[in-house]
Order: sequence, then structure tokens, then C-alpha cells
Amino acid sequence: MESCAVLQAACGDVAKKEETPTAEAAAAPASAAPFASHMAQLIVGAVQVTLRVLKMNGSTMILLSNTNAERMDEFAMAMPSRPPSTQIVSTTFLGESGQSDSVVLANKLAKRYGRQFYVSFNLQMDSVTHAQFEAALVNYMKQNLEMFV
Amino acid sequence: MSIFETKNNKCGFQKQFALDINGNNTEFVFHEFENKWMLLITQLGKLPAFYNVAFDVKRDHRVLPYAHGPVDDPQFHVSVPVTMTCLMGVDSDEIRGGIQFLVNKTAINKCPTELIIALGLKKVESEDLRAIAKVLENGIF
Repeated sequence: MESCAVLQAACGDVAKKEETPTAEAAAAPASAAPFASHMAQLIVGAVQVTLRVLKMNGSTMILLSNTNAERMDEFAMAMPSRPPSTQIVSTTFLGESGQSDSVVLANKLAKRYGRQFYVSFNLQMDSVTHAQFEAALVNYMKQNLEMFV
Repeated sequence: MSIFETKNNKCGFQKQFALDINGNNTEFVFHEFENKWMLLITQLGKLPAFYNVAFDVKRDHRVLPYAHGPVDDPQFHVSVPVTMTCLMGVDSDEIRGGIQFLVNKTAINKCPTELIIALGLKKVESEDLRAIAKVLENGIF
């Protein structure tokens, strides 16, 4: 299913993949770093959760949904304000307005890592399972920090 | 306690790659969800705006512009009717026009659900859009 193949041949001459990094590319600022993504799975009780992560320049997208039915019902974003303010600004831009699970998680992550986070949380859980799930996610992020920030 | 297990540390989506489009490194990410398609295209290293594209006509009833072969003649131009909503970020006519162009020119118009799209181009120019359409046709759809 997943494919990271760069489709140079298929795309003809309109698009050229950058080959090995050149000295110019190496000297480029960190903002030019390519996107990186990965996928992980977790079994919580009877539910199998799929985590998809896209690490961009200065922001991270996290998509969480049931493995059997991957949906995108909610989408939220949170990011730190400009200094000297330490507040987090956030919004839900798809799904229910107000305190959606996505915006709550995005807020927590933006505060913890001082980075912009897009979160799509599409899981129905009771509060106990939800807390366990969040702990598992935070633990996984700690262990694989380079994949997130 | 349950722990996450990494299944694929190389690619988390159905398609994710970067290409040079007319001198600009362009990132492509595509994934099909049950109720949405998600397509991210950016030359900026970030996502400047998200749009939701809803198709006004159900897939089986759509008159696709290129169903009978490409007709690049403005006189016979047909656009796929869509309702575009800016969910987040700067809403500009240029980006809306770019998205409509990609919908008309690529198999995005066969999307059975709604589409979440982010299009972050340094300059919205027809040359770049044509190149991106070609990449989408050959590399994603």
C-alpha cells in the first residue's frame, strides 16, 4: 500500500528528483529539509489504532484513526504564539466546533514541544482508555522524538 | 500498558515524495481515508492553507472534461463543478483557481468523497500547475 518511490521515470522531464544531496543542499537552512513520514499501530483493548505522522519544517501532522476504518472527521491545529507571549493558539478547522479531542491533543503537544501541530483524532474512547492512550502516545513520541520534531 | 509499534518508518502515507518542479522542490503527500482524500502539495516546507473540495455532482453522474480524450480548446472548456471551502489559512482566488485547474486536469475529479487539499506554491503559474498535474496523473492516480 505505502509507496515512497519517487516517480521520476513516470513523470517525464517536467519533474526531476534531487539526487544525492549536493554541497549547496547541505548548506541550505534547516527549513529546506524534506518532509518525513511514518506509520505506527497500537492495540487499545479491542481497538487497533493507526498513527500516521508527517514531519514538516516547523510543524508536525498527526493522524489517528481506527485501523479498520481510517476516517478524517476532525482536524485541528495548535501553535505557540509569538514571544513574549507563552500562550498556545489553536483552532478546529474540520469537524465539531469547540473543544474537540483533536484540538485538546494539539494544544498539549504544541505546549510540550513548542511547535505547530496538526492533529486529526478520530477515535471514540471512554475517559480511562483515552488517558491510557495519551500516555502510550506520549511515551512513543519520547522514544521516537526525531520522527516528530 | 499498550505501546505503539512502528510499522513503516519510511512512509506513513499511500504516497509521499518530493520532486523538483521548475526549479522548486515540491513535496507531495496523498492518502485516501474512508470519508476523505487528503492531498498536500507544497513548495514552502509548510502548509499555508487547507481547502475542502466537495463535488457538486455524484461521481457516476459527473461529466468529466476529459472523459472522451483531452480537449485543450478554451471554446470547449468544461469545469468540474465543485464547492470549495477554505478551512484554514489565507483564502485567495489564485489558489482556488489552481485547485480547480488540478481538479479539471487530473483524476482528482474521480474522487468519490470530499477532498482536503493544501496547495502551497511559490508562484501560481500555469507552467507549474501543468507540471504538477502531470506528476499527479503519473505518480499518484
